[in-house]
Amino acid sequence: MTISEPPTPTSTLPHLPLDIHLCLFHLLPPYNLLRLAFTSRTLRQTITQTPEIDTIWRRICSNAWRDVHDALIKFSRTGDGLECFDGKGRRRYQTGGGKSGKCGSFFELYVRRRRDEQFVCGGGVDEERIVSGDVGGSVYEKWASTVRPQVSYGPNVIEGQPDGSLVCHHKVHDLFSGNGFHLLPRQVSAHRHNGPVIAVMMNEIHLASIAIDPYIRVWDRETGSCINVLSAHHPVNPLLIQLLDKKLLIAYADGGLAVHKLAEKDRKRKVQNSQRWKGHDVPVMCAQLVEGSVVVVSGQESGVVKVWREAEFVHEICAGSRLRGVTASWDEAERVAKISVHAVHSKVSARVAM
Amino acid sequence: MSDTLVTLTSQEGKPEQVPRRIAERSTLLKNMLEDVGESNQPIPLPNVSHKILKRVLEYCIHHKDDPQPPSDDDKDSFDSSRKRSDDIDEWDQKFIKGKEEEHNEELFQIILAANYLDIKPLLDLGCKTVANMIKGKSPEQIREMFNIENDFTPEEEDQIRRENEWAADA
Repeated sequence: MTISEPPTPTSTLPHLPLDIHLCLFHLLPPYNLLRLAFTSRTLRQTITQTPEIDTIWRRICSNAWRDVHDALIKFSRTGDGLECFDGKGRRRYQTGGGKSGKCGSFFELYVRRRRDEQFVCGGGVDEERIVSGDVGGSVYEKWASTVRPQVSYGPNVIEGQPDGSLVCHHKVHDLFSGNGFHLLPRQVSAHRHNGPVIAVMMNEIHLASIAIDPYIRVWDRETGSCINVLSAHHPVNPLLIQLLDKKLLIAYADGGLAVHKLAEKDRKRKVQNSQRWKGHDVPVMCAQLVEGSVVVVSGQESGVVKVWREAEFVHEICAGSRLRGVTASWDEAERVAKISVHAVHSKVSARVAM
Repeated sequence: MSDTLVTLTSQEGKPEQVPRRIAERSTLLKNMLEDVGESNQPIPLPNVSHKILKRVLEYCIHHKDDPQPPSDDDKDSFDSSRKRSDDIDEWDQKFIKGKEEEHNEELFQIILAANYLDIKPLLDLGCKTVANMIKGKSPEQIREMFNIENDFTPEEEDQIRRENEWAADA
């Protein structure tokens, strides 16, 4: 038996085969991946020029979002600005200084890194300023015009603009230079919002954009035609909006929940059915549609999580301490919703029969 | 069939006999053995030194009863959850640590051998160990630890530092 082999690769870190580098990069948090790239030209080239790095980068950044969410757990409106608190309730940042504004809503998670914007993952917005956080828990204040929400699919990036329009860019991502967005912009639609877009999201069919006005526009992703305009009855936190299958879930700071069943693209301008109900007496902290079912799960900061069959209350779970998050899945065979509630001091799992 | 012995020859031509089920922890060897069927011919491993082969086989013997990891075809290669690097069990930690004075050199050789022989758990173990060594270190510390030559020009280094101050200070 004979084997014809290429020469043995050099056993030093910069010169390992790409397979091994990729395996290693997957294991490193963003900061450490960047620091590794500072060590030598060879490693920098590997990290920046590997086609898979974009996927790796986006994945580790989206995971890093959890850290940001912990770090910037709470934005609240004060008399004249925004306050940000970290996960331990310490105030990290305060805007304002005599300037009043409509504030308290969040803009969506989006992941990108630019030379001047550093590592922006999410934050809060008032009429002119965006307060954002990085993975280290630092807080930055930016003028709204400099930071734009976006969603990507394939090589395309759809970006919400301060003038209320949506623009589609072809995306070429360069991890380090920050100049990676080579813009070939085109307007997604002639329609636009009456104010800065603060979040965009999409599923297989729809594109949804949320603006400060506050309206939610639902677009046909392929044609760019506006399928519907939904009016939010309270400032919307885009982190509490979910677009799943043909449904749009909105959770409000007043405790309200709404599920809009969206039209197919060939049945334009019709929201087929909408349900709104008062889910909580306090602001909703997390909410999600459970894939493959009609179940909605919503939670409030005190650790109370409620399970709904559409708008009908089914079950309540109390975690007993401050809520960090909820995960839920649907078991079609047993027709039960499997729910895990993650709180600061406990984790509660439940199977709720429907 | 699983109790039959297989002969592996290292880079230096030294033979090493192992039970077939141990050898089959390597996907490369498993596929080769399936392809050739019953054969007493030694399998040459020109990319693996005898010392590293023995270390790899030590790992395979210890993990002989572990379930085979799913193949890449069976799972999303970009798993949605971040891979953890802090879940290394005690035996594996001692195994990969090896001799302190030649730790890095041997570690990379084990990683290369695991990659070549397609032993996914061992490759993961090696990469996790390297990742743990990198975490929390500055670029200078990483260079020193892995003996990496800084081949940036002073201007390049200055530019990179300015672009990435936020990460360096974190």
